Amino acid sequence: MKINRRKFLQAGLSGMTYFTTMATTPNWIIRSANALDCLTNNKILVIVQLAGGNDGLNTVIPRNDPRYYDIDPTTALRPNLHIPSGSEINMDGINGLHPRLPDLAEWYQKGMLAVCQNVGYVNPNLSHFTSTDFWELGYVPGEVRGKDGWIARFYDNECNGAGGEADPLFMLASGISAIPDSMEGSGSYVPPAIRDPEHYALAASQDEELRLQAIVDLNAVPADPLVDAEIDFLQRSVGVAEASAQDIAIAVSEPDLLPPGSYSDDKLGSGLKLASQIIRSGFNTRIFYVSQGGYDTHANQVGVGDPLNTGDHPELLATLNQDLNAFMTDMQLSGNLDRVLILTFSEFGRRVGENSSSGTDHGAANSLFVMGGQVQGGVYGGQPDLSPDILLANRGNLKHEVDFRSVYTRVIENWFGGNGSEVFGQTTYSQVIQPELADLNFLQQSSNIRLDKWTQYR
Amino acid sequence: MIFMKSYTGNWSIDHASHLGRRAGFGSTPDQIIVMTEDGMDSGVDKLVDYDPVDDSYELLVSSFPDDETDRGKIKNPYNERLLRGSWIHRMRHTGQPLQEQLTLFLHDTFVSEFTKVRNGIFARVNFGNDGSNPERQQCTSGTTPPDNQLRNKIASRLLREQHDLLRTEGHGFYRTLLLRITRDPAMLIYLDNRLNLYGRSAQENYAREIMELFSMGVGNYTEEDVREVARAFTGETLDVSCQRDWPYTHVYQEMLHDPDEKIVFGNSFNLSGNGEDTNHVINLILDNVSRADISPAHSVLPATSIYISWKLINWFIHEEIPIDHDGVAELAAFMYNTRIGNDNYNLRESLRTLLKSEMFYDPAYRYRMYKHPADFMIMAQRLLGIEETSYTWGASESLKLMGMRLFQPPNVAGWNHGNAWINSSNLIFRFNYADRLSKSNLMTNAMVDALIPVSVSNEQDHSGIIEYFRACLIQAALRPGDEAILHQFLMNIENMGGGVRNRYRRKVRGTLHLMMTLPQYQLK
Repeated sequence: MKINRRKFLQAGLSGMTYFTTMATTPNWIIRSANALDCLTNNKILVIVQLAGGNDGLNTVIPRNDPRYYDIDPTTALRPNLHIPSGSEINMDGINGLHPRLPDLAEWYQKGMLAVCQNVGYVNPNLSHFTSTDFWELGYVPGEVRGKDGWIARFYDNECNGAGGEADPLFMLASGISAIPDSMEGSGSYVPPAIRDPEHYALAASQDEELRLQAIVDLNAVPADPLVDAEIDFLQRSVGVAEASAQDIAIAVSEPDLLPPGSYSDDKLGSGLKLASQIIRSGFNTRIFYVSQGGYDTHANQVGVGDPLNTGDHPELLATLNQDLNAFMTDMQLSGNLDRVLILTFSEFGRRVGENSSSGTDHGAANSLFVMGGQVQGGVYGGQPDLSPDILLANRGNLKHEVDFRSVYTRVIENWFGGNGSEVFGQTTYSQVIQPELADLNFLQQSSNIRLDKWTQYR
Repeated sequence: MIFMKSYTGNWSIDHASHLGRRAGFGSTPDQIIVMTEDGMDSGVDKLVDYDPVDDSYELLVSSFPDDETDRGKIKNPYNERLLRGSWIHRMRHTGQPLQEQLTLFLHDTFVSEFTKVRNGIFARVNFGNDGSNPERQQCTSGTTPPDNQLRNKIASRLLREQHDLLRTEGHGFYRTLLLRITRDPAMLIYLDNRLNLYGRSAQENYAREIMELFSMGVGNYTEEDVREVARAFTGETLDVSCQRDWPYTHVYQEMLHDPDEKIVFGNSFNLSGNGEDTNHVINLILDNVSRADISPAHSVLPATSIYISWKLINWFIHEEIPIDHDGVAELAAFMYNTRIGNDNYNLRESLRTLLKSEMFYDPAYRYRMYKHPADFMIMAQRLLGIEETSYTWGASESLKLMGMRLFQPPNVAGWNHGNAWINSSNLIFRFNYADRLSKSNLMTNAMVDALIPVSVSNEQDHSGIIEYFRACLIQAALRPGDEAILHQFLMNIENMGGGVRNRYRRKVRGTLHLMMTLPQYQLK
């Protein structure tokens, strides 16, 4: 059944009671009364976008591959850009993490970090924006493009079109002031985007109660979505803003468990910090989306003379290491570690060979991280193939072995107990995704999978 | 032509106000009356035929003091926030609003993010004086890194110069614009072409983005074309030799240019000397016919004419009009086939055609576009005559929080338009800016009192108050439900007691705030 905010208000609670500081009904009562009856296994997914195209080959280093370290001027791939042998952090003998990822290496040692290598798709597109579309919408070249994001489709499939305004924090973008395309397009749910939680509240300098009440009322005047689609969307967005603002005020008052400065000042740090506060204050959020930018390292990827510590890429990885570690630690200290799963993604990896300006151009297949208390640590997806014939055949880029939708499907099915084929389509699912699934055991099969969904496609 | 043919229908107040909202930052009720009486041709021509240099605005700013006041910083912005505030002030006060909308369009097309330009100055370019010292610069590269203040100052100057290029040349020929932006110092830093040097492997950043985002659109070139264009652009760089007074100057370095043959879109060439390869590539980009799979009407036209026409139509008519729409092909044909002197791709004439077209006045698009944050802010300031108390702090930060950080679009593709402007954060900051405008330091008591002819009865004239703000801000009729809620709000204040004048002012301020939170005010 579709529950929308207007019906909810008509059902008894006036807007005044709900939205102003004079509220007499505790917020958690309203929340629990309206909690969505879907994705009920209490699990949380945190999607981490590394925007710009992360250089996976310098993030997870093939430490036994001589081609990676080659400095012969006629054959070298990365004479200036490779991570000097011995400075990487050994993982499993054949792979190493960048030396600026020491905390992630510890989580790997604890068995809570998995690397998935060679992730990509057929006929890779090297445009930031086209490739981001593929990853966010969950389709690949040659398929008819849908307009809805893969998370939005997953949500609609699981939650049967339940309106999010009654549970406004059910999924959200944190630390950024944009709704990611992956979350866009749900028939009923407009997720909030919360960039600056400290100032996330409607203000009125005079006659505050009257004005705020009028804003609520003005945005509840019925609009026919078929005739006035824009007005309907605006009203729903205002509804989400109003309904989420008070919840966010509660969340940001949640005391820190970690010392100041544990999270970076980057939007990734502020986004993960807010996600931690929301989780620790007991809200029902199931999917967070956070983002770190700056990975488009055409130039100055590493600094001259000190490639481990200077240049853009080492700094980006240091921030990533700091923020993911802070978030994992927060989750561990608050007893939430087994509830959270972190999934990183980037629109593409980078060209295997370096360019003339201490950087790398756009590439194709890439590695990604999966982290969390329930993760089966390890390296999945095989080793990147740097052999000359493969690189030549792929225009100097890594060849993909794992369709990224296989990773998404693993998360949907083994983490949430949902149904991947309904999100990505039955044909795609059986032809592309299913045969590869067995190799991607980075998640134990969830113990509380809903059997009806599970048996449906088996 | 069907969509781009000149509009011949009824010309009413609704058409005139539509033109004002789309081609400028809204027109006042008085201006709308004049535009209605003068007719479409006059209304559009007055907007389109602006002077490249807005003398009256330049005169206004030149009267500002050279100091650290808000006006002083508007005159001499030396960091990103001040640059943003400076532009907001210009949009607020310009007499040529279409010039600013077009500059916004071009700023959103030829993106150069301040942060990366500033970091580029830190990392790679020789630095000398900040441009204010008439003496020959002293290069200090390799010794002391420039401090933040100097980097901000240099980046601000580079982005101002790029900005002035877009403002003063934007109405001209796209070919010229594309050539100038390719050699623009801020762009050479932002998309790294100054580091694209003959040697190991050409740097593809600018080559890819100029084709994908500044001209042809994705799908009209191959990965091989990207590599070849990158090779053709080698040697277009900045002078880091310390031989000039100002090191952030474009130079072409033949020694750093790839001397071998290049093949772009199947054309092979190798034109030595003075950037001729670059010039040739720009011409190829402007003339290469679009991919065939859009529509038959599109496949005979150059990809760039289609892509730029599509972007203009998305900016001025509706953001969801698809590229295969016949209106796009019609505007592209006009843009490509119409010559002013010897050159085609004239933006002023293309805009004139667009703003006089049947498609532009199609009621199906009216109030169906989302205002971008500058529309939201500047329309209210201009139409209500409100002067910001702080452009370089309050207004600058507010616009950023609404999702439009001028000089710092989210990435090289610029801002996402349409309903991407709308989300919970951005709406909260829009509505809170409306509250800011309603305060007595901006909407002064004198302004409030002068709104409607003062008499005791008028102070209780709720319909008059609502009508004033409707006519200025919304311009269309209010939805009956909205009107009832506004009346209820005013009655609630009326019933609260206190002095009549005090209640009147609270009513006016509250109505201003609320009118800007209406869904209709978010649309144009």
